[in-house]
Amino acid sequence: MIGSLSQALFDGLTIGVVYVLLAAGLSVIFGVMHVINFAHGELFALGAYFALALVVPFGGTAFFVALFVAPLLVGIVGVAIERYTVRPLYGRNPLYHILLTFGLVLVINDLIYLVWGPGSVSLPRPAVLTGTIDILGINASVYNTFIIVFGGAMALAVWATLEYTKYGLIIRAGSQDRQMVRNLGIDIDRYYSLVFGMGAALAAFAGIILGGYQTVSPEMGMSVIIPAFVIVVLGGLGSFKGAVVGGLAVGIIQTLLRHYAPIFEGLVIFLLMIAVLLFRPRGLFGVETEEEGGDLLTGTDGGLLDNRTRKRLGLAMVALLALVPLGAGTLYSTYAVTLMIEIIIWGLFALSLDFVMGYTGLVSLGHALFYGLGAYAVAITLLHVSQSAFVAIALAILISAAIAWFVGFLSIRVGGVYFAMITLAFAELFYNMLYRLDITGGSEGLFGISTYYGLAGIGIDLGDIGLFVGPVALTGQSLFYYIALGALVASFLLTRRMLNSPFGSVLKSIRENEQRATFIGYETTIYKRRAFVISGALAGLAGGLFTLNSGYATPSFAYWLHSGEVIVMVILGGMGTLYGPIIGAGVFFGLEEILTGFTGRWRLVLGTIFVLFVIFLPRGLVSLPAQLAPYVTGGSGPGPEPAADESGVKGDD
Amino acid sequence: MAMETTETNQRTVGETILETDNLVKKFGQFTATDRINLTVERGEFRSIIGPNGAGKTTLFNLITGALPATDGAVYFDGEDITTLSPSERVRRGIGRSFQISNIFGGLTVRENIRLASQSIDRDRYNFVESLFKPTDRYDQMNERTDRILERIGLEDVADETADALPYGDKRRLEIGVVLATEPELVLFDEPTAGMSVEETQATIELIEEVLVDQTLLLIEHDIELVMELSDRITVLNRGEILAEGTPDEIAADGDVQDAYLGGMME
Repeated sequence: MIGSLSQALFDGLTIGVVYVLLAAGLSVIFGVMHVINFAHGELFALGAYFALALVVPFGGTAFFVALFVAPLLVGIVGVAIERYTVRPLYGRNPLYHILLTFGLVLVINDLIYLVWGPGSVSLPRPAVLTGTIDILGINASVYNTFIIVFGGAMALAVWATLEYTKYGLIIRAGSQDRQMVRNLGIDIDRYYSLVFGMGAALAAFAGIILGGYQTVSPEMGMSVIIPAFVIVVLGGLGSFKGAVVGGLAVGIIQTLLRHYAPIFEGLVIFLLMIAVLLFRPRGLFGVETEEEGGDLLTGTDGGLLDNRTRKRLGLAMVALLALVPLGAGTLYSTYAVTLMIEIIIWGLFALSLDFVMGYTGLVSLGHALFYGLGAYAVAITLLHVSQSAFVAIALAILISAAIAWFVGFLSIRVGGVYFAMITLAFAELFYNMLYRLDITGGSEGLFGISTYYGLAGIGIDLGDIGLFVGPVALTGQSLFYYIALGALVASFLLTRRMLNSPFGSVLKSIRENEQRATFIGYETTIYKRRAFVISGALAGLAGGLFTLNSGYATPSFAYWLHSGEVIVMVILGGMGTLYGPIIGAGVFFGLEEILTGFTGRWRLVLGTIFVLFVIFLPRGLVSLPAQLAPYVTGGSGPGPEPAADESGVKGDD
Repeated sequence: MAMETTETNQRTVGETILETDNLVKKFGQFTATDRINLTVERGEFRSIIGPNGAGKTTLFNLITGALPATDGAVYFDGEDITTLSPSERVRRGIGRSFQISNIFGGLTVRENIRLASQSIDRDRYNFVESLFKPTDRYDQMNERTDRILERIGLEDVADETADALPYGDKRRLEIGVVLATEPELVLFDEPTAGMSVEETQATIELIEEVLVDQTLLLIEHDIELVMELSDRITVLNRGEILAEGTPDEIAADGDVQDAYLGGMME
């Protein structure tokens, strides 16, 4: 028993050291530049793949060469990323860096798939690092010992650099107070590329040694990035010491749980993260840093049309959408209806996020939580409570709203980047719970669910329906299309109405200037929480509708990539407009549809487009007309009519 | 409660509107506000001066609720407001003016004022109404908004985006927003910082014109301006009240000259 405990501790320490190297770069990058680098996991994976490319042709001994060459290459990639994508965004709200690096995740991850293909491969280790040795009574693998010793030495070297060199001094000073460093006449901006490159190299280094320990696979980046965030938050954003303590702690806790209480693996670290964010948002060793300014850029003011035209255009769009099912099977395949249903549901989901993100400035990185909640609430209701779709949807909305209130109650007191992190933690907690609970069907999820539209056993099953008028066939799928479209239009009108009310106007004032809103007498936390509840309920409705139609729910609904994708849609379309995100969802799925015809790696293209959007068109597609107008008309573009802006919402979907 | 000895107050002595009782604020080991007993009469124009780091802004933050007090109490209109939130204090009648950039830049001028106007009577509407009834259908609120727009002379640009206003109009708007919350006491933290002489003059005239009925509490670096405007002056130094009195008394005070004015001349 003692032996197995020390064995587990030893394994935990091994993983812990890898985490330390990974989190150190992430944390220092945040400390100095206030960039939350989602792509850090991909740089980690890239390191392992570069090493693989070097080791495979030359055999195991090349491992030692790769151990230095691959991080160097990844470091160069890091410098390039900083210079060409991150740099244009300094001065904007730090949340844009989250969006940007999320786009880079899609790009780099797909590049890895493209070059090295799917599936996992093992990274050959050199012969000297195989076998086992006895240390203090533990039968330890040489490779693990190597990781601990070598990784530890590496961390020590980084620490010494930060502590004892002039370079390190400037970085540490910069992470405490950037402005002060600038005032001292030091051009800290020059150090940014270097810091980013160093962080990337450290991540690559971690990727290589873990690759030799486990295997190398395209998913390895995605699987470490969330634990890395947990570590950085636990230790304190920007603190190297925090990264070390947090990394070792998370490595050991995770390994011990896997050995002794597997049911809690994946739950405990997120609970820890939430607790730390609530009681000590700066983390264990974090220092107080200034919250970065910079506004979220909305798509309002982008339109050139007056209100009346917009209303007509919106009505025309809805009318056009209503015609879609009529041509299915004749003008185009019935698949078009299925695709449109997906766009409508995601449009609703994106709209729900826009309501909090675009109107109150709360960037939720865990909105998939509510989508997943809605989906599972419908599935569980239909399986165990009632087969009525109405009951299921009502419960989905209620449960999502209730959980949103709870999450909002805990999360909204922490602002900005911390709010993004805590919502991410809640979503990951839920995601991991879905895997572990019986009622949610574990990793399989729930499937084969049927329903009827009615109450108390009286109603219709859409599957039984088929209306045929000449060549036009209205199937159950077509009817569901109308239900989804109705839900979207109703949600749009409802939220728009709210935004024109006193409640909505306060939301807009919070987005514009929260401090001012407080000092004209608004308890802004309460308004934000209400907005969050409404948003959560709508996201739950979207998830519920999906399960109602598809008949299944899987844990992937609540995965963080989903949360990221819905943010992509909101930004693509234009935040703060309600209809922009719906357009964003359409473009997202439209692109996917077109691109999958050419390549399985459509996320590469999508990610690239998204990165370009974040850099060059952060106000989204809806701002395009106003941006282009000056070039088209040759003169100054027609200014957006101020009167129309009063509503803040212009036009229909 | 602490009493300040006030001998020569040439203004009609009103009742006390604001009082702090041994107010203390500590940041770790550092005491930013050290047992401050401040009493402000209704209708008074009071200035707070003191060298950098004297704790002027901290005192403001304690009065408006932006920071919680470590010890002591704040009374407004005779009521203990020490533990109330900033927004609740605004509703009790404590307005805070910021420098000009502090408006809702992306919203229209009217919307800026209307939001402030809405804030003070939101309890009159029920929850459902406040969620769904469009803002343009609240007659009383909109009439008040129009009155204030007229008072600050911005009725012609009411539908313009606040960001698009010229400098002077933004300043008017900022003060209009404060006025719309119907404050009894307004706190100004260096309202003329970074302004030219003419701009400073215009701002002060505006404040005196628009906020003629309010009690004013001002932090200001411009000593000449303070001497000219204030009914009474409180001098802070290292978190404590160093002196208090009329402009003449302060000008003649030896301690003030040593600790503050002397330091300023260097």
